[in-house]
Amino acid sequence: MGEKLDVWQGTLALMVLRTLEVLGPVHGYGIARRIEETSKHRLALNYGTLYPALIKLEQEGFIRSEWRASENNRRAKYYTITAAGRKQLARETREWQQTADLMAAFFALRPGGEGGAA
Amino acid sequence: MIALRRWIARVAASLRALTGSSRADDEMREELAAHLAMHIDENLRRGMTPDEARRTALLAAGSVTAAAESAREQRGIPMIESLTSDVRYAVRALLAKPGYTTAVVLTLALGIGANSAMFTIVNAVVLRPLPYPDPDRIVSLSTMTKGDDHGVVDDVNYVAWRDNARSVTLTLAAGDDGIFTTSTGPRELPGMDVSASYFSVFRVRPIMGRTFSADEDRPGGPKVVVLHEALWRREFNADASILGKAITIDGTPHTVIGVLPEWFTTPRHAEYWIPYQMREPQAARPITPANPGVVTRYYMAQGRLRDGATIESARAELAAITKRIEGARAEEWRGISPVVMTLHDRRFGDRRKPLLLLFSAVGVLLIIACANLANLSLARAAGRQREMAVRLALGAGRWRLARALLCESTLLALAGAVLGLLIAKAGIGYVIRLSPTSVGNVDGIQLNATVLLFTLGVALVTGFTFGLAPAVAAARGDINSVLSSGGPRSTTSWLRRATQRFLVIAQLATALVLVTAAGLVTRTLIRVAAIDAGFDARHLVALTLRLPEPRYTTARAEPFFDQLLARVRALPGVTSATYVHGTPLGGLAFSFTTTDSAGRRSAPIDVVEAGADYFRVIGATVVEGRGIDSTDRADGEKVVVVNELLAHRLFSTGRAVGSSISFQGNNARVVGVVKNILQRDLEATASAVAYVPLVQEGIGTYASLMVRSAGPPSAVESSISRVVQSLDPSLAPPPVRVMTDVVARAIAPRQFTFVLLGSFAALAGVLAVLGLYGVLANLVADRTREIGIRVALGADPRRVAGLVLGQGATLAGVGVVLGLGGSAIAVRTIRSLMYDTSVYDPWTFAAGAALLVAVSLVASYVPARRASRVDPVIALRAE
Repeated sequence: MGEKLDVWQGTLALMVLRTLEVLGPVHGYGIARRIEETSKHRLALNYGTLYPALIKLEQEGFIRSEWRASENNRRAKYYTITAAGRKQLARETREWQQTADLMAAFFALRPGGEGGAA
Repeated sequence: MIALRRWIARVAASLRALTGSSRADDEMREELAAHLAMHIDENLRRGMTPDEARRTALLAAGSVTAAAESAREQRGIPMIESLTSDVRYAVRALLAKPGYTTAVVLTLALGIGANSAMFTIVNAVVLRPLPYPDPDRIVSLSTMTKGDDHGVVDDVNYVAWRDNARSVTLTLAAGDDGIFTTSTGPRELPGMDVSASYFSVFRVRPIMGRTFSADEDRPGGPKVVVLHEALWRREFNADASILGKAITIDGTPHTVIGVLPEWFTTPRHAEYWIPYQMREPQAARPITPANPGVVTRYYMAQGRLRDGATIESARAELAAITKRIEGARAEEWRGISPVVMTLHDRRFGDRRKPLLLLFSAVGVLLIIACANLANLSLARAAGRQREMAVRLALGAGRWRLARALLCESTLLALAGAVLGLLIAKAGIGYVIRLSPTSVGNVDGIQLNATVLLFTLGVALVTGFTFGLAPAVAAARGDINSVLSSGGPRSTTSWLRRATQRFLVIAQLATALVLVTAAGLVTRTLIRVAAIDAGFDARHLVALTLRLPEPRYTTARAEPFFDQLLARVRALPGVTSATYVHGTPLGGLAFSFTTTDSAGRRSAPIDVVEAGADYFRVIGATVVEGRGIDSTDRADGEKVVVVNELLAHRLFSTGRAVGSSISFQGNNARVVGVVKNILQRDLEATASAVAYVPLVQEGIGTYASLMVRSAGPPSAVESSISRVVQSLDPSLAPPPVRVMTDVVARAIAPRQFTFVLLGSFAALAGVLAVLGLYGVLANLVADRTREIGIRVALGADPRRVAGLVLGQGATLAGVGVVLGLGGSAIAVRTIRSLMYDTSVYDPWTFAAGAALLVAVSLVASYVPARRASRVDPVIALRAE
């Protein structure tokens, strides 16, 4: 495995919300797995990273949780995205997109071009 | 909006988490367990061995405890959660050191308790407004000449003000006691004579009936009375039909027209009010031998400022009125100007200064206590350097450490405050018993919400103040030097030492300021106590007899007084007795001025009308001629005894007796000279007094009976009362003044300041010296090793002791020099409290400084001795 990247809290929340929007109700382990897979295992999530983020999102009302039996008949806490969470996701996605576009524009600058360094 | 809602949701969730914390923890643990199990399941599915599956899952998961901890932090409000853990830690740390904790809590309890007690009194007396609506609009009015406030106003000025002033509504208010028939027999009850406007000035409405009309407030008006609710309930069983009924006061029926509510209280606790029915001033006529002049009456006037008026505008208006009428009056009325002050100032103004002085003194005391405790906790922090360093090394934040220490000091201060309130409660009781008159407004003094709030504030500020230095020291602590060195003692913090020294010097200096102030107050008290009042107060009582008019006329009163005197003189235990108008230290009947042949008016001469043997009864010394005796008859030659001051003023030495003086159109022969007897006030300079025979002036219906007893006066008090009641059962037992009490009361305010300021200063001195001791002891403990090496190398133990003693002397010296400077500035504020003593009294300054230096040296001796006895072997092995 290559070098793992640190997860930035803000982006983790976005990843969790997006994962829940796509997958529907899923438990913490499932979220961790899915994020790791989506990142092609460049990200590794341990408890200390994931669960505080989940608690924070729940406190903010973007996700809610309930205990259910898992596919292997284990009791597990399942998380679902709420309407407020969807709105938040849309907003954050838009902001992220804008930031990304902005950054891309900067990266596209070439020396000697318009507005470039003297 | 959204952000706010989100924040509220978060806080709510946090609070939920805080309360249901352990349940949330359990859930979290179960969730993490499920996570781990699922990971292991998947690993097994992928074909790992059970061991491998488990190990891989655990590695990926990270620390479960760390996750639970950070989850908990995410759930709860970290500030509050860590605060509760701070408090828990602080309680544990404090309980582990019971000696330190007890010492600190007790010191704080004394400091805070003294402050709460003084604040309670200052709040009640100085700060709290009078209990009437819009109290700061109620004023007291009087006149003054050359800045000397008369405290009263003459009738001509009063009437002119009353009828012309637009800025203030005036009323008269004078105390008046009346005999009521009560359930326990005839009793003299406190009442007031007031104008009809009194009730609107004080904004009080009767709970039933009405108050006086203007017609009822004229001379010869109807006898009506307004009762206080308390009297109405106590003596008239709250009789709802009392209005219109007649009750007997001083043997005269008065019609009850109203009842005032319970909340309306006056300083003398008046229980009834009757119309003043003021007589209008007599028209001025030229003074001739046949006409000794108009009788001027003086009044206590109060008023309420009307809308838009201020004290200044009222004063200006009244001054203009006084100026306008001045021209038509005799020369002696020139140069008078009005005094307008709030009634609060009139009642409590003279108590403000001593109380504020004492309040500042306890404030200073608390500051010294704080400095002391800061030193104590700095020393303790030094002992805990290792602990702090370990906590820092284990990852505790510096701010968190400092907060933990502040938390400790705040807890201590709060504990001190609780104990301090108990001390305050006891202290207030003591202070009030010590001198009710010096405190004033005793009824209002109680621990109330304001006081509790004040105490809490003081506790928090105190905790923060004395906890700050150690907290800062902890936050700056250097982990490496502490942990890598051999022991906590070998690193010495220069900053800590400097702080400790600074604090000790500051304590000594401020303590000296208090000691100097207390010394000055003591010196003044000694001076006042040594004043010769001119009479012998021991075994002397004064009974004030007032025979109610109109039942007693002058003609009927005279035989009563004669009979009473004969019966009292015959009582066993009574040595001698006589009547007087104007008891010593009890004020005066009246004063007059004489005019010499050149038409010049003399300074006022006070007149005392004295019965036969007066000087012998009160124990005064007749220095020349004779006193007033039974040979002076009503129809005999007019005679007068003058005091030394008057003899000195009017006649050349030795020529007084046999000369004559004229007053009120009469000539009187001087038959004797008596030593000055203080009439008004212990501390007032003696005034010129002429003593005239009471029989020649007429006793009237009011006189004081002076009685000298063989034994303690209490033995004869009740038998005199019985004699009075046997002569007339309708009379109330006369009020008795024990003259030693009168003298004691005269110096009571000084004694009060002396006792309190003295104890505060003593406490401050003890604290400061203990602080010095602590720092030196600490120094010796810190340097045990160094001292051990010195001794091992051959240093003389006495020189080692001298080193420590020298340190103590230096600190004390610097403190005392600064303290003397501070005192020189501070004592200026108590100049007005001095009597015949300069605030820069060199002896007091020197004595205070010497005392503090001496005690400091004693305190330094103990650690110095310990230093000289350091055994090098033990000191070096201890490392």
